[in-house]
Amino acid sequence: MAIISVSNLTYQYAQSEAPAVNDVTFDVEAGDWVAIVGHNGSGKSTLAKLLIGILAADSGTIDIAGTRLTEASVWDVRETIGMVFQNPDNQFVGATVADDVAFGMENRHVSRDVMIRRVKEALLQVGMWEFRDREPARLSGGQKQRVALAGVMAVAPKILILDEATSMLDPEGRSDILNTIKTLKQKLNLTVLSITHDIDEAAQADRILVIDDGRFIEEATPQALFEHGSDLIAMGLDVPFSAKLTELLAQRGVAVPAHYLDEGSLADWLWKSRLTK
Amino acid sequence: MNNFMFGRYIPGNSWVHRLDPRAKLLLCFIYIGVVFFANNFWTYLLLTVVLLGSIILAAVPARIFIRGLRPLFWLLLFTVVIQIFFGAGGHVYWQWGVFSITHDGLVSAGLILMRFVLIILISTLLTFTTQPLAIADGIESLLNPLRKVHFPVATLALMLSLSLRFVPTLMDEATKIMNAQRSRGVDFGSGGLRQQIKTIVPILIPLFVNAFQRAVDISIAMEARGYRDGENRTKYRQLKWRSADTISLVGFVIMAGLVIALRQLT
Ligand SMILES: Nc1ncnc2c1ncn2[C@@H]1O[C@H](COP(=O)(O)OP(=O)(O)OP(=O)(O)O)[C@@H](O)[C@H]1O
Ligand SMILES: [Mg+2]
Repeated sequence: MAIISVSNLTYQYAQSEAPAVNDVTFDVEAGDWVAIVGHNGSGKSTLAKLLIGILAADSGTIDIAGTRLTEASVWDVRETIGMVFQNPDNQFVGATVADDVAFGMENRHVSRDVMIRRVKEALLQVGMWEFRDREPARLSGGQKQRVALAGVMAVAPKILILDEATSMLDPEGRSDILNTIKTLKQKLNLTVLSITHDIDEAAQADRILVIDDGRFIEEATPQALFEHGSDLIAMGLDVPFSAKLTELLAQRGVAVPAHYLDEGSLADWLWKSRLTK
Repeated sequence: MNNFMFGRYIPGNSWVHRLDPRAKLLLCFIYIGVVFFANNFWTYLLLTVVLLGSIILAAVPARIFIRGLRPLFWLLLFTVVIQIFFGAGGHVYWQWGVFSITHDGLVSAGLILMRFVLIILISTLLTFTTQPLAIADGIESLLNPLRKVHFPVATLALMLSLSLRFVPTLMDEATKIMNAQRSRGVDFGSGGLRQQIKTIVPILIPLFVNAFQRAVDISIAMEARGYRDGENRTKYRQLKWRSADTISLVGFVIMAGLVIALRQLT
């Protein structure tokens, strides 16, 4: 059974003309990594807020791990979902790193002994244990996002939603945190739903859903989607360097392979194609 | 902002630093209360000695204390001058219209100055040796009895600690906005008062707008992390009352008793 099951979901903001999420239907299987891409204002964050019950849908249904999301079940549903947001500063609630990680557990009435143990575990998992007494003002954006991740992991959710969680980080911080998420996902069999403009993040996914004007317009594997080349920009993704290069080569009449190559395999293909000539 | 020492925390590990924030708050309240009972040389001497002793135990350099007093210099001067000119009674040394300098006026000005300085120094000592967060924790814990009358103590404490948490963030943002305005040719800190106010407005407006956006984001993040109501939560941070706290509290109570006894001397 799908761990996330959404059907005919529609939501319109009170002051706006068109629905921000329009008749959306999709399933996510447990243990999957699904990326949602789309240009600015296409309704991705709205969808995420609907999934954790911060916004209430106008129509349609959401089932999370077999529970129908309603006003009564919203707190139970939030137990199963952890969410990391875009802005590192605006989700750091605690006064220090350890306090912030404990915040979610304090809300769930976890006893202090258990909290102390889990704060340590979670901070070790994201490599932030040495920073446990630091205030947020003395952390980098990437470190704050790690703490946010630790805070989410400390309450052991089944589903992790990332709403552009890496978009305010530099490339290094970005790949660092992506690697951490990958490891965690494998270890804990998490289901990951990542909303992103970043091609590397989308490439981690088993499946990519493309959203435009509140509707899902395409669903594909990363491989299949990246063959679109510069159309990706229109879909809200930054085109990867290897795809740009492949396209430029094709324009110059080089017979490039039709399927998507990442940087490594493009390099492989390049030097091999030279050899065989 | 760097020479603004009042209300700052000076990291350290002295005897005073290690006291429980609840104890330090209570000591501070007792001391300030007792200052208003002091009325003669001996009582003030005792209070001064206790204060100096505490400052020495806190191991915070004296020049930092003096810097902490400096921003309040004009306030002190103003109060003293008012007292000198308008305090009446006793021998009149000098008079001009409603202004007069009298013996009682001088004495009360001296006393007020003394009380002011003592109160400022003991509160400065509190903030120098206690992290804002610890003070918030201490206040929460001391207010705990109010829960009985359904006063939202924990919510208040969370609000306090959240605002403290965002002070540096907003300061950073203000600096960023100022730099952005500077790069557009705004000249801060020059021109007349009107001109200066004019340059402040374009800082405040984006700062406010961003702060509100931030508040919305934070409330969403808090809710997503399971925050329902402030009162029924467990607590990760805990305060520890140690024997040093009891000892200092007893010491201050004895001091209070002595001051009240010494009052009778005149
Ligand atoms: N609080 C709000 N009130 C009214 N309209 C809103 C609100 N938040 C978002 N919208 C509108 O809803 C639409 C979808 O916004 P949403 O934030 O979901 O987009 P997004 O895909 O997350 O974009 P981005 O990539 O910029 O984060 C946009 O047209 C936006 O203007
Ligand atoms: Mg968004």
